Amino acid sequence: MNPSGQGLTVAIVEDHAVLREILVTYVECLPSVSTCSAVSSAEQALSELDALGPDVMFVDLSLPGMTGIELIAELRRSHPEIKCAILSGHRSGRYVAQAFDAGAKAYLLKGDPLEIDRGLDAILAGRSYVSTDIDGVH
Amino acid sequence: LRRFFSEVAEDSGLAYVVVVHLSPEHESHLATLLQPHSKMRVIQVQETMPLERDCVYVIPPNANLDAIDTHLRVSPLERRRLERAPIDHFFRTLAETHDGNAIGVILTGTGSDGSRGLKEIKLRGGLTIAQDPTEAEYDGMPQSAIATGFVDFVLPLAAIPAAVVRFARTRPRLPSMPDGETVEAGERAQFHKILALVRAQTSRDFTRYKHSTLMRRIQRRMQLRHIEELDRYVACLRESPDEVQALSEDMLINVTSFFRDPEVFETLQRDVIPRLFEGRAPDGEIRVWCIGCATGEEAYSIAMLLAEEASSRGGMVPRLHLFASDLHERSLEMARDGFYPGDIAAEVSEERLRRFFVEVKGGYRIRKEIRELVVFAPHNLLADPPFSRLELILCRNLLIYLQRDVQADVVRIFRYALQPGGFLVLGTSETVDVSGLFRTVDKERSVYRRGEASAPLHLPSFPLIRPMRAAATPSAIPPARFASMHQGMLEQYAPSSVLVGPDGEVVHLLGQAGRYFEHPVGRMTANVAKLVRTELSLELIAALHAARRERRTISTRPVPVRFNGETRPVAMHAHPATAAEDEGFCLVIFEELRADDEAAAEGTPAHDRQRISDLSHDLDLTRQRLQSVIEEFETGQEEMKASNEELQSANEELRSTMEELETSKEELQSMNEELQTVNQENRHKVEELASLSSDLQNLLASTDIATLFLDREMRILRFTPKIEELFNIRLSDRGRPISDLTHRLGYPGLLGDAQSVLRTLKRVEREVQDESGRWHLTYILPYRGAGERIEGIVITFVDITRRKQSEAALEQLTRTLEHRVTERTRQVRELTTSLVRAEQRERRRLSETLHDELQQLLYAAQLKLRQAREALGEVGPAQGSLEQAESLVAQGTQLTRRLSVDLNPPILRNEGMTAILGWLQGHMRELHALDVDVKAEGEIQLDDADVRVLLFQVFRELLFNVAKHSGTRRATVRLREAPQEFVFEIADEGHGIATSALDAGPTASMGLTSVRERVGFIGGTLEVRSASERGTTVTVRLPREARLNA
Repeated sequence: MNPSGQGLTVAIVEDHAVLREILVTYVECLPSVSTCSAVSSAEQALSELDALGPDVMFVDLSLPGMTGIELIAELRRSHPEIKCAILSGHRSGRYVAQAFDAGAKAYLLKGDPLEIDRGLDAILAGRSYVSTDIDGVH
Repeated sequence: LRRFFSEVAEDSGLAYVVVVHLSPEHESHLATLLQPHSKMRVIQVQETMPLERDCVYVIPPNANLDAIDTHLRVSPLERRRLERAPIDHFFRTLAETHDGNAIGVILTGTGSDGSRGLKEIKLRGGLTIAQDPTEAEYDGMPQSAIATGFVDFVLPLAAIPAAVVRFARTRPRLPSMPDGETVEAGERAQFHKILALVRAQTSRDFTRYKHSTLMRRIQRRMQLRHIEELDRYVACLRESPDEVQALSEDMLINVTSFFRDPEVFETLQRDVIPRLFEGRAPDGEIRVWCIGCATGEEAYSIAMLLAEEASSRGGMVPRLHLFASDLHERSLEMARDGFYPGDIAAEVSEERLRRFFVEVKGGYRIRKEIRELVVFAPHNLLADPPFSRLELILCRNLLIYLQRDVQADVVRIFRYALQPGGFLVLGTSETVDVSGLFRTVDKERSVYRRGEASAPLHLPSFPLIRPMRAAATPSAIPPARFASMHQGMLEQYAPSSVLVGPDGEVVHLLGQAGRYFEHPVGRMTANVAKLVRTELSLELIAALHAARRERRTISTRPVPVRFNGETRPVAMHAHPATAAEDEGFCLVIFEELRADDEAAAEGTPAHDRQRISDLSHDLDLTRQRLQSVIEEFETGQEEMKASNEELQSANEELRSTMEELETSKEELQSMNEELQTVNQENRHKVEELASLSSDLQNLLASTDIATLFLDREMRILRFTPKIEELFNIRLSDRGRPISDLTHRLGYPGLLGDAQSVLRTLKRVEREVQDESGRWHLTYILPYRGAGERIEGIVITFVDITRRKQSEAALEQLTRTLEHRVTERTRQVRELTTSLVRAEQRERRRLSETLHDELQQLLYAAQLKLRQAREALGEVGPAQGSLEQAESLVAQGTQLTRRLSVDLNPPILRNEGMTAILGWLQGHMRELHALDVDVKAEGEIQLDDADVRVLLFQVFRELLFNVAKHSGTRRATVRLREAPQEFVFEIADEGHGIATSALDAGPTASMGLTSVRERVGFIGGTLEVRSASERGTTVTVRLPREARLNA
């Protein structure tokens, strides 16, 4: 949430190039979002963090090099103000738990475009969100 | 038979009678069968029918044939099969009626029927022929007939008819003598020549035999030799000693059988035998003489009767002594042998047969105890001194062959030989005509008994032992007329005289000799000393004695004798007979002097009286002396008698000894034969052994096995040539201890082993290498001699070098192979592992591609579709299509995600088994509606990723099987940690797998097989327990350090 009270600045960490572009266009169109940019790795996200200046960051779980969860954990330490959410195809509860342990605010599943809407709404409302389609943690 | 009759000419002039053994139940077609083969008429005999020449008569079934004169008669057959002997029966009746005109032919057949009948025929002068047994279909009857020794010819069938006709056609021109006593003058000379010839060769004298009988036998021999003139036969006898022998044998033939004339034997058994035993002390003996015993049947019959009586009396019985004598040596031999053909069963009762005979092949043999009772000896009744002190004499059917006067002499001999009261049994047609010597016991059976009184020893001085007399005297019988006239006148005018025999008996009186005799009171006697008037007695005895001694005429002084009150002096002149054969006979002539002659001779009375008294005195003294001499003489005579008896018994003993010797000789002969046989056998055995030995030699040589034989002291006995390659041994080393020899074997323990084998008898087997590197398989075995005795050691060396080499090569090969197999296995494993890894890799790649690429793209498509839909706004038909597209993509996403997970569950990334199973749990529930109950004891962490993946796959496969096949919706997984391994169990309670299907079933177990294989890859095991409808439990064991390609 930027100080202007305008739309949110969203950053997306996604290694898949095509999806990355489409995600950016999709998220930019969301009413609460003003700008959206994307990087392809966690390392790039950290190095360009200042340029990105995100309020909310959607992180893919499996990334080349640093994983999404490691990135979230790093960001919680260095930039606690950035609200992170996992956007992943993995549905294992284990990852969900790890993600929340690392400091993620939401765990969103790729597969339903509305997940992004619902997750962003929850983050803006200060709630945590876990996709309904997650396997239970055993 | 067919062949026989086809050989017979139609005009032989003979009648043929065929007797065969026929089944009594069946009709016989023999006659019809024979007819085509014979030129003569063939007739089956019915009832009684006359015999015609050139006809063939056939016996009807179930009948005997009797020959009666010129007719044949059918008579009923004996009821008992055993007794049936139609051939014997017919032969017998034939022989009785047809004498020498009968011909008996024995052809093929079993048994011994006919043998006996043949004897009868031969005895009566008929011809006997037997078929050659080698040619006969059944040789029983011919063999039996030949064995009797009564067969004239043994001929092949084809030659028989010719022989028959030849015999029948030969008609010797001989005088017919219907039982005449002597031969007609014409033939007499020839006849006596024949007898002389026989006597010269065989020392058998037949002159006293009835001439008619002898003539019949001669005729028979002539027929056999086809000689018709008597003088030619005599010539033939001169040339051929064999013929003389044959004739002599023929003359002696006698036929007997057991218990012949049964009624006689019944009488004997009932009346005679018991009396023999009566009053006989147990230590005494009963002596019986059986004369003309032939082949011994009669003697044995009597012996049986005696034995029966003895055993019925039981206890102590007198010793039995049976003498059986005959002239015919061959018969005696047969009698001694005591073997009789089977047909005697008809004569001897079954009980006796059992008791006194032993059944042997082809007949019966008399038992030893009976045989030993009888002593068989050759004895000529007419020449040899008789046996004496007998109780019983059997002399049946012998007298009939003797001339009448000889018969009387023989009867006297019997009387002499018998004890007082002894019995004499003659043939039923024979009689004793010397009355007074015997009493008749049973006239019909010709049983006689000697008088009780002991008559003076009177033997007819063996008149028969001077055999030459008969031959020498024929001319001594002068023309009767002048002789008798002279005789009559002499009797009338010559002084009275008496002929005194050597024993002092009055033999003949002449003239008025009776007046000088006066029979004394008491028993009737013929003794001249007792008969003569008392006054003459003394002088006569002295005169006879002197005359005999001095062989000159002795005259006595006149002795006054009172005749009817008138005293007349009588002088006696004793003239001894001068002819040698009349020795002992004396003629006593009585000379009657006138009374005054005597008175004149007396001289002066006074002087005479003195002389008379002196003489009387002398006479008294002489009388006394004479008395003592007489007494001495009598004693001497007694002694002589005793010695005579002793001599006789010694003679008998000699005879029995001879008999025994004869038997021993036979025994020795048979023993010798046996020994020869044994010798022969031994020779055979030796030959066999030799060939066996050479076989062994060859075998040993051919096996090429070195063999060494040692004795118990380890000395060399034998060895095969091959041994020489191993030992420094030479043939001369036999007998040396084995330890003396060096050998090229690397086997120092040889001797020790050999000794231990000898001790333990257990074989030792060793493989040893010699110095040249060759291998030998050595066997050391105990040498077992005859009777399992251990006689040493056998050592064999078998060259096994090549085997050894092959073994080594084989071993090498095996090792190489094993190595290769290991190598190849390892390679396969590696390949498999890399395959598994490749699979994993590929799965991962696919999974990742699905996840990282396809899923992302689909997601992007979703996002775009959503954007497009929102851009389109609320309405329009495109809205619906977009929604549908969105939903399709969503399904695609979901499918892709599942596929990705299935290919490479993310859960496997370095997590514990609990987690893995937990994931599977969810997976199973979600996809297969299977509830999996996980029961874990603590966490199991598997570090090796490959192992983890594999194990995961295994579990998934197994659980999938449960879901698919068990029929239940529930499974239990148990995890356990053992010290060395992890144990996992997947159990369900479903249908179970039939055990047989576990390994064999291609469908159900296919998964299991691949699962098992996978477990194997990581070094684990898989075990399945299952039973139909009782569920299945699969247990997987995994080593802690399990790794792929362990």
